[in-house]
Amino acid sequence: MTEDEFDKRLTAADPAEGMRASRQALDEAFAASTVRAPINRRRKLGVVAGVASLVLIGSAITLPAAADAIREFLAQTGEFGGLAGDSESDSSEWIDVTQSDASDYALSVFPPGLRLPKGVDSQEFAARVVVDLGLGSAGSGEDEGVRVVQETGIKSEFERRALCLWIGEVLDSEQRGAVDAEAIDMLGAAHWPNMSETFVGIEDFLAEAQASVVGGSSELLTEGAIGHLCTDAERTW
Amino acid sequence: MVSAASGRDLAADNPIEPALTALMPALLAYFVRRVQPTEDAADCLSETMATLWMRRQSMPAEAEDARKWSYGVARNVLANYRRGAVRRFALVDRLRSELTLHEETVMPDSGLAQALQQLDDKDKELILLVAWDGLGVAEAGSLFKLSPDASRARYSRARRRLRTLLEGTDGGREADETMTSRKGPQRAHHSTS
Repeated sequence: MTEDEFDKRLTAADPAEGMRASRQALDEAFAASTVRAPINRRRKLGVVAGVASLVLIGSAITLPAAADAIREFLAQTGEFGGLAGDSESDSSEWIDVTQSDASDYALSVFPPGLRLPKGVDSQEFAARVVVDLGLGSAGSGEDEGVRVVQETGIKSEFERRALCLWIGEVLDSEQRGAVDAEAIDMLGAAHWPNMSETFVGIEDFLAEAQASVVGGSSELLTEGAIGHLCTDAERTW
Repeated sequence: MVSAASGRDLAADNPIEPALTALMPALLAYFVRRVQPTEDAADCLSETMATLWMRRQSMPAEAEDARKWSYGVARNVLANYRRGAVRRFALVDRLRSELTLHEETVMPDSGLAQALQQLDDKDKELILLVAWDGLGVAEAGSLFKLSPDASRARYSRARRRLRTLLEGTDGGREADETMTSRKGPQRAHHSTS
């Protein structure tokens, strides 16, 4: 077999050869992705840009009916649940992040008992996360147009930032040749119930990463968590 | 482009969208080549686009860099898919349906599939990224954090090994009659997981 014949055989075996997707199907998939991103994913309030736009446009996408609830903050919309037509099942309240008391609201839902690494003050931590969320305005840059997020998303952001600190602890201790048992334990998904609601595959990822770390390898944690979950700054205090 | 879900004009919302949507056919093909059943490629593509959309402000300006960036994201989505962490999403049903139709036209090349299966996962992926996805050798190697020189060396070794394996599995003969009309090896053999 010559090199040319070898190449031809490889090319002929391409399973995508002849595969055609209509522009309409691709357009729909793209539109779905801009909806899906905020529902499934992280990244401060940037993740809700798609949802915000859709809700503000308010045509085919509608919020479920308002439920009776105690509304202590202007930021609370009284609207609960997932977007119409969406299979996700977050039943928490939608929060108007442009309201002046949105930061106060966010602090009020700071997950009680959220464990933080030694030396990290919880109030200071919460305040920093809230500042980074950029609440109280419609956002700018990636967050431009953001108006509403779900309560679970805010809680999840507190958890994500805490998890990032624990990940930093794990990696730092490894670099020192030490083992930080508490930090490794904190990689368990059970510590991050709101993240499990908002991040696709986070439980499996953390389970695998934790097992790998216990087995002596932080490669998965480094690649997965650092590549997708945390910025460098978010891993340090 | 008008979103079927909302009626809004997506391209008008954000000028980077044409660059993102231009990546979709190649990324869809990337997943069609690697997931089973084929229609799951629609969900993988949706996951990838969701991630790219969220990170659109980090998208490299150069088309080549943007492509490499998007394949890096796609690789991670594929890893999640193999962990069962990519969920079905109703809004991509049209694309799923179209991919289901495609799958029915595919015929196997069991010899090549068998030879590929025996390669190291990274070697196999390096070869397929070049042969099927059209990436340059250095570009493909960069997805594995290989330097251009290391990429070329590894690619050459992998090709040699694949050829040797092929000669072992089918005596080095060229594709048989079924190859001339076929579109791909049996999907079940494609997974590198």
